[in-house]
Amino acid sequence: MLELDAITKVFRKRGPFGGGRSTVALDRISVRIGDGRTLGVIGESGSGKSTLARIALRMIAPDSGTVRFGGRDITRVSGKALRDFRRKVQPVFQDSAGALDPRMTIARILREPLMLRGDVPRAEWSKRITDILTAIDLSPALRDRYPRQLSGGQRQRIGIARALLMEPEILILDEPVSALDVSVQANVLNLLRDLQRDRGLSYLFIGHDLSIAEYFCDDILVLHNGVQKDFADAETLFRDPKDDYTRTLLAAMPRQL
Amino acid sequence: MSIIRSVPVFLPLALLTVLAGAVVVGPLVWPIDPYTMDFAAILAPPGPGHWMGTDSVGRDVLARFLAGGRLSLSVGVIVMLGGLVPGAIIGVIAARAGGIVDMVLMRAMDSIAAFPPILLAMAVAIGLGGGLWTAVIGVIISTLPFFARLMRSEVLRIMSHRFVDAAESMGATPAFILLWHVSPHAASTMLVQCAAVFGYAIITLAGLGFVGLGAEVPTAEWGVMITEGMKYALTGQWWLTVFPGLGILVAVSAANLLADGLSATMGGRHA
Repeated sequence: MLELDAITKVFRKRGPFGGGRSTVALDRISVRIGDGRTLGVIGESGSGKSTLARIALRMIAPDSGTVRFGGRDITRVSGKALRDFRRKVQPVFQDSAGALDPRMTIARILREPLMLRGDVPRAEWSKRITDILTAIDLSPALRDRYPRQLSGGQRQRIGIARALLMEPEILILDEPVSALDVSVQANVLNLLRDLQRDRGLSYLFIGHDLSIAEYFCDDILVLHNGVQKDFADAETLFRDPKDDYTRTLLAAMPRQL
Repeated sequence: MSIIRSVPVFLPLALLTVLAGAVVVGPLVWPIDPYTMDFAAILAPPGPGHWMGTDSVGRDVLARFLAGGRLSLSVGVIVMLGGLVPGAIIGVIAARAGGIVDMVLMRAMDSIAAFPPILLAMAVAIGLGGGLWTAVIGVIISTLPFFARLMRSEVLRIMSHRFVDAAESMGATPAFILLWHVSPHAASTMLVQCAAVFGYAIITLAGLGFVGLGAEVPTAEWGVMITEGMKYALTGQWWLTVFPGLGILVAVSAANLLADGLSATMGGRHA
């Protein structure tokens, strides 16, 4: 279980003569991702949702507040303790092409997590890679291809496979389907759901699309300019939004005729 | 390596290989010593016994051409590696450390780059007492900024990719990221720079030899040979200057064409 408690992050832009402006990216945000659950963080660009993802991954540290993982405070750990934590929380990025090293074959890309884990014998790597490709509904024959030879949906699946090879507890899904065709979006979301059920994963889903969040998330946090506007389970949020901003978002959702 | 099969890479590479092969194997099949004077054959024009003729003290020009070529290509490689290794290390340190370290290192590189390379190499050669090896050190120093700046920007460019974020999330150490992700990408860019510096080193050292600050008379070196032959350029003994001149032309053009060919061929494959 990952808990973010009263997280504040301010970005300062220094001017040429000292001083300068600061932007409050996150203002005392508290959320928790329960085991096997999906928390959606919804907001427009600039709302701070990606900053929250980066803090959950401990790619950056918050200015104040605490990050707890399994009850342990990991807000300011570094070195080996930080690397140990990171293994358990893996990212899936929006830009599936940028997330894969273009010079490496799929097999080499998928070998990287196994290498970095260091607890899987080399003799098993090939089998693990075949297994994970099967688990994400891709042909093991793709292992010799380069990322540019795959479709966006296939690349995103490879990104998910790489994360899964770390055997994480939590996936941070940063707009995982925003760059994909609508027909492919549903495939990838369904795959993520199946994986969650089979492997007991927890998800932090970052997005801007409420209709996807309604379908995909258990709990939803609505962010606007770094401020928490609403936080409830999906059903409650859609039935009874607390905040005007959430109502505006809901009103903007396309309705089925 | 499919890249070698592309024409703009293959042709100059083949040219350099032939030249290198000739200067290495040449002395075995052309057993005249480049320093033995033959006063019976002074300033002999190219002919059966001396394919490139002889110089003013009867030394065989072909033998000197081959020895000079071996020297030129060797110093080309030495300058290339001598600049690449410390330059790349400086670039990596600057990019990784950032802040004040980055600033100090890069301003130091700027100060080196502020001098015209050949003047800097001359100054170093004179300061260290002259001779081929002091000139080599001077030329190496003048190439450092090219390698360091390029390596720094490559490291920064590659480290900004999402796949590096992914690697960090998997617990990769900075050393792992440099070896596994950065170096394969940086290698192609640095290779282009190496080819260019190889050509630059040959022509600069020949130039320094020509003005008397590099290799010294009577060393068989292309620049020195041209200086020695200059006196006879107007009296018709063209073979003293034309052959070493052609050697420089071919080696430097091939190196520059190779650099262009590599960068054009690999350009589309960058991340």
